Amino acid sequence: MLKQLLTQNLWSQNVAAVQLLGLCPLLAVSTSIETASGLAVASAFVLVGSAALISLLRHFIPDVVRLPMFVLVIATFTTIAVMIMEALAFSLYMQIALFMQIIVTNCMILGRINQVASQQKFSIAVLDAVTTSAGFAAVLVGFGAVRELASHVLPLTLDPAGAFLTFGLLLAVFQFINLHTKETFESESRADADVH
Amino acid sequence: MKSLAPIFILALTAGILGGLLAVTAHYTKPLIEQNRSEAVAAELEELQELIRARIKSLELTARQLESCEYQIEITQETTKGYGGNMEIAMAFLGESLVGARVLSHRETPGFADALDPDAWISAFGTKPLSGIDTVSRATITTRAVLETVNQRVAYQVEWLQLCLLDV
Repeated sequence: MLKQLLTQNLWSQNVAAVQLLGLCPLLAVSTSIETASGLAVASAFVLVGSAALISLLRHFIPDVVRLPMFVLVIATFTTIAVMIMEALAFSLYMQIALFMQIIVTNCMILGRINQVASQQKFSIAVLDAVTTSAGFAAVLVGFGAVRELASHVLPLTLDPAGAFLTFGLLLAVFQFINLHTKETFESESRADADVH
Repeated sequence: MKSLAPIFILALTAGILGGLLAVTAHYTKPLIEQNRSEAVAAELEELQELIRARIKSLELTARQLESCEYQIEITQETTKGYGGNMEIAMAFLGESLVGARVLSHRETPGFADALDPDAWISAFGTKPLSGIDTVSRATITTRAVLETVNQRVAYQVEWLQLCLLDV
């Protein structure tokens, strides 16, 4: 189960690189590794906390108030994350304040809560949230690192237009690797089947 | 009565989560206030540093600093930016603007980069106000700062004239 979730959420169904969810903060905050890491940690806190609570409460949540309940829980954890970051990492908070507050509207989080946490038992919900957060963080921090390093040669990468172009190029590379590994895996599987 | 159950559950959850927020706010509020006041103090210290540098470059004596022409003043004004109120601090030597800093604002990150101490706002005090233009894509924010500084400079000029008359 853990291996499957790790493969799925870190690579084949990565929320940012494959499902293209939560791209607004990803493009806006990934100008440096520091800001990207800050948002990744905050998003992880909100997703894991919300998933755990929703999973525990899932039998008590009436269907008609399902979405308001999800938003209420996500908004609470977002506000807690904002307060903690403003108290403990003020200079970082000042750089990403706005994007911290709009974590509540991140469709990646609402999507995982709706699809997984509200339907699965506690351990699976938490595991899914942790692996999804790790996948999102990997893309966010990786993208931040590429933009920060590339900006020394090409300052355009720090601009909004540069963010779209850089992310597009990285996605192309990601898809190429993804397709290549998939083809290799399929051809190896076919070869194995022929042998047997 | 049964139809009210979901609303009751939602309200109960909101109450519990509200309590959780209140507890978090109780423990983080002193740290947040300390961080904010330290940030403001750092900005004001920068302005004082600018004043000291100006005094040194003009080689002013203690006697001159007591006169109206070179009276030290750090003033704070509130103006309305794009996202809400902005607190602007300005340092003067008599009627001469030495520097300006934004102590607090609610502008969109990225668009408020011009307010960083080493960015657009650092031009105040180093070149004439007529030579400072607004920044495109942060026009409302920078115009608000520019207008506030202009108003305060006009006030300082009037004040200096009155002060000299008094003397």
